[in-house]
Amino acid sequence: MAELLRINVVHSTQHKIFPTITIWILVILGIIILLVEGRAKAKAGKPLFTKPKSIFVENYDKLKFWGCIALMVAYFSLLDVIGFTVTSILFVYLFNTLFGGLDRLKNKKYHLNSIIISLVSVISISLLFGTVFDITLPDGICTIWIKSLGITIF
Amino acid sequence: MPFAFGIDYLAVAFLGVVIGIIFGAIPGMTATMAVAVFLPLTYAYSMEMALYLLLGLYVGGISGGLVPAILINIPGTPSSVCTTFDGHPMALKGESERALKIGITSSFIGGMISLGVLAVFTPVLAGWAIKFSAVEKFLIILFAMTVIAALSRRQMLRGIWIGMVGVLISLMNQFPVNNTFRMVPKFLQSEMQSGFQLFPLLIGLFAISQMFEECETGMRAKYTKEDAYEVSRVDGFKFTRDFKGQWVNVIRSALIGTFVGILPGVGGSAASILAYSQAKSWSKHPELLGTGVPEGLIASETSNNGLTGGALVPLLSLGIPGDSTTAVLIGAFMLQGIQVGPLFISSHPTIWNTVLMAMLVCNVIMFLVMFFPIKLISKIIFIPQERLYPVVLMMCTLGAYATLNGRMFDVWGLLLFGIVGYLLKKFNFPVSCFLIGFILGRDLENYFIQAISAKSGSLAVFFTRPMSWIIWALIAVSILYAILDNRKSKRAAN
Amino acid sequence: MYFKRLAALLLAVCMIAGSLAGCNTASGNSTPASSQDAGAPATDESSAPAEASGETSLTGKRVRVVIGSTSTGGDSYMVADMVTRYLGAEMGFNGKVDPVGNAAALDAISKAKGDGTTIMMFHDMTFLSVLFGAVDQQYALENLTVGPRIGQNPGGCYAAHKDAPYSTLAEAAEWLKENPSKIVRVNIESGGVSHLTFVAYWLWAKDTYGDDVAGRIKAIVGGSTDEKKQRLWDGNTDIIYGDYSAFVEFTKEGVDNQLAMKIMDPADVIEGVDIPTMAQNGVTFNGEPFVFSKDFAMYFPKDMDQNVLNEIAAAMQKVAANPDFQAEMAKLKYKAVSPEETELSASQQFIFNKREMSKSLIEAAPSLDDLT
Repeated sequence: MAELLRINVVHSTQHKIFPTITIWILVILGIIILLVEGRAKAKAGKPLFTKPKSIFVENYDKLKFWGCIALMVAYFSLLDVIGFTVTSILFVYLFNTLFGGLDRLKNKKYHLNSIIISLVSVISISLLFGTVFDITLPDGICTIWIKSLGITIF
Repeated sequence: MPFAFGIDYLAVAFLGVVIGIIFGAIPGMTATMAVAVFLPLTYAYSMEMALYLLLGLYVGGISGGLVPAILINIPGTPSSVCTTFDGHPMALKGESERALKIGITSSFIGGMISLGVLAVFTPVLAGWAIKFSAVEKFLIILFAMTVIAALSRRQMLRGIWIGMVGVLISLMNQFPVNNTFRMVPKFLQSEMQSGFQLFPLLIGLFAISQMFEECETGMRAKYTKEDAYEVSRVDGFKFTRDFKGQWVNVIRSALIGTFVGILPGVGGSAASILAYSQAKSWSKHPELLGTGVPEGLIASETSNNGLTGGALVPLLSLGIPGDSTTAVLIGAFMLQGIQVGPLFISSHPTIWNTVLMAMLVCNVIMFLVMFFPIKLISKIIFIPQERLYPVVLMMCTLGAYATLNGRMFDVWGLLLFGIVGYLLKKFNFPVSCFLIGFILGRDLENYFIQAISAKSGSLAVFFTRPMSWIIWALIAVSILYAILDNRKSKRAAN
Repeated sequence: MYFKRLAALLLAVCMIAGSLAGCNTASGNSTPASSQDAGAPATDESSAPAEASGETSLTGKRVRVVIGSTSTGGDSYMVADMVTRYLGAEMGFNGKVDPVGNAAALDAISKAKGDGTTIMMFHDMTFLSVLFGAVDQQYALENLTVGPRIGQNPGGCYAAHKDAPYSTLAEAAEWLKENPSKIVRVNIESGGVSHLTFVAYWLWAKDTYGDDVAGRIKAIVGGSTDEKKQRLWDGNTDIIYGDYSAFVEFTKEGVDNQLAMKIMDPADVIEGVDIPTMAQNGVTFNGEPFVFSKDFAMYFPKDMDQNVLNEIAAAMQKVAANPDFQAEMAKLKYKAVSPEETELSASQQFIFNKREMSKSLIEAAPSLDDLT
């Protein structure tokens, strides 16, 4: 019995032990889930695999959803290039505009508010954490360096 | 006086607590980060002054996490994950002020109970804590994992499955014992030496996926001012009413938090997860937890503050940190040239007393600073989502970048796990189980390998030590309970 | 509306924090570099690094110092913090130490600009991790610029339980020879300094006592220093390796018997510590007494600006000569390097030589599969 319960621990391969155990558990459990849920579906008279219509809800807001993902990719890609503060000001403004929706696009007051929010929030966070607390932030071409005060604004 | 005290110390503590709360409350920052940022600055201070500051940051940071957890469903620190389960539903029902007050009071009580344990029982506990070998630590983490079963009512198999996926994902790194990569593609090897980090994963799974869901449904406001005024008049916070019948919960959760803190090497977020699951197991109405009841909120917040005192026990009695934030605190002692070890308390009685005093002062300040501006803080829930999410995203980006002190990889991790969380919800898998598997995965593996390699690979080692039988019993009860509960709720649903 | 209030609150706190942080520095930036402490009773430290002696190309800039460890309580962080403070005062820059980890530090410094705003300060793991294969070959020293040495930590040593039947590694080998049924387990970390010193010991034991004794010296790999201590207390290992400062507290009088340790065989001489080193106990490698200290140095990107590098090296020489710096290093049991040793070409030669020595040791070593 003791021999069955032994795992051979060799230094150079021991990194595979636990992941292997985990994968086995996943495979076995996965089969059990398929069986259990399949049986439940069969009892209820539903077919085992229905072709999903769409993972999205009805009439989902395409612009906001895909726009959000696209903007996030753009934001992250540009952070290291342009530097934290400037990129964030730009993108917080863009996100505000996107989330506001098409109907608010023409509203001047909305845009003005967006600009104020993006400027105030980004600058205060950037100054507080990047300069006062000296946390390393992405830096890029728009990093401002004030020699006389010895401050760098990312 | 046998400890350092005075107006200047109080001022520094106040500063520490306030900044700590800000770090904790901003979903991009954590308590550990706050302590790490201020660590080099303490060089210029005396040891006692440094303690007031750093302990203030610690206590404030852990407590601050409840604010966004309750108001916007985004945990401010990893230990506030379970606070979102009941805190946010309460806020949506219009009870945000009440939820905040309950959370803050629970945090205070948890902190004080663990401080009491720290002050009175440290020598005893220290000797007892080192009796926990790798075997027992593995089993305790296994026990914490059974909470997955408890949290996934009616979906138990799926919950466990996705929890194990979480474990597998946490193992995508370079195994520290033999420095070999597994499951990592060659081009990512320099980024993934220590695998995915908890913070981007947590925020991605919770906040970013939520943002995607809101985008999908058009970002409509869930909540207006009119709803709030109606409720707050009738159902405000009342200590006696809200805590009535909760005393067992409070004490149990505080002790769980303290205990997990005392055990060196068992993670901090595990504390609130364990406490929440126990609250659910022992509750009279387990099905209500997760829908917005004070019980769950109390369990989560009491335990994560209970951690603070507990984590100081092994630090100050053995020189071994109880959690990641106290690990940073060691640096503060070293900067001052003070060694922490088994003789610390007897050779530095003033500093020991100062630690106790500082914890007391900081807990009190935390309570006062957070409790009174509640009306102002709870207004955050009225901020329209289209204004709030871009700023939260910006702060989370900053926090993700700063997780390992400056890497873009973690920022991309936000996006990756945002998508993962979104898809998990769409395909009906419980996201919190995935998170818990991830949090516990690495430690689970670490102690497993340590335990079996000590006895040439024999798995019998998990059954031979008497202390481990107790933990096995707890695991068995926990699983049994979860299965019965699962069946009961399935029947009720049908 | 409410958002503006929140932002105003943030700004106010920012200003308060800024002014409070500002009042313990002499130059208005956020690193403490002066001896004036606002309202804080100072300890007996002589914390006064000299003011910047003239303009350099880094004056007023922010310099990021990456280290190869992720811990803020270890020797890498302490040494880097001290050097950054003094160097920053000397050159007038605002330095920040970022504990990013081994691969991340190598990656960051390889991709950094060569203008001196990113410096890597780390010990031998910089090249050891490449030699052991823990990180990719692209990070070899040939693709970096080696900078001046900044210090040494001689404090790596072995420790055993106080009641162990031997007090040095050599005695352990003797004890094994006299007890042919026993084994000695040594807990080390693979790919690091402990691995190297253990291999040196093992090879020496094999040469001096024969294959049988050496075969009964087993390596147990892995774990942080705290986990190693736990292993020792659990009885799962006999000897562990770590830093002197991690063990010294457990050797004092009055420590509980289960926890009490004794220190054995530091790999190099530690100031003020009277324990015979590995070399003094007779351990040799390639005929020479075996000495190994962790050597810390600065590393820069491959295309580093030579002028800035010279400036940094010159400033480092001044720092090394500073008695306050030497005193601080000594307090933590580290060894400061002399101004001659920290000179640029001397440092580069030293590091490359050390790498060669380590390489020959690794090549002579049996694989860990056989040693465990």
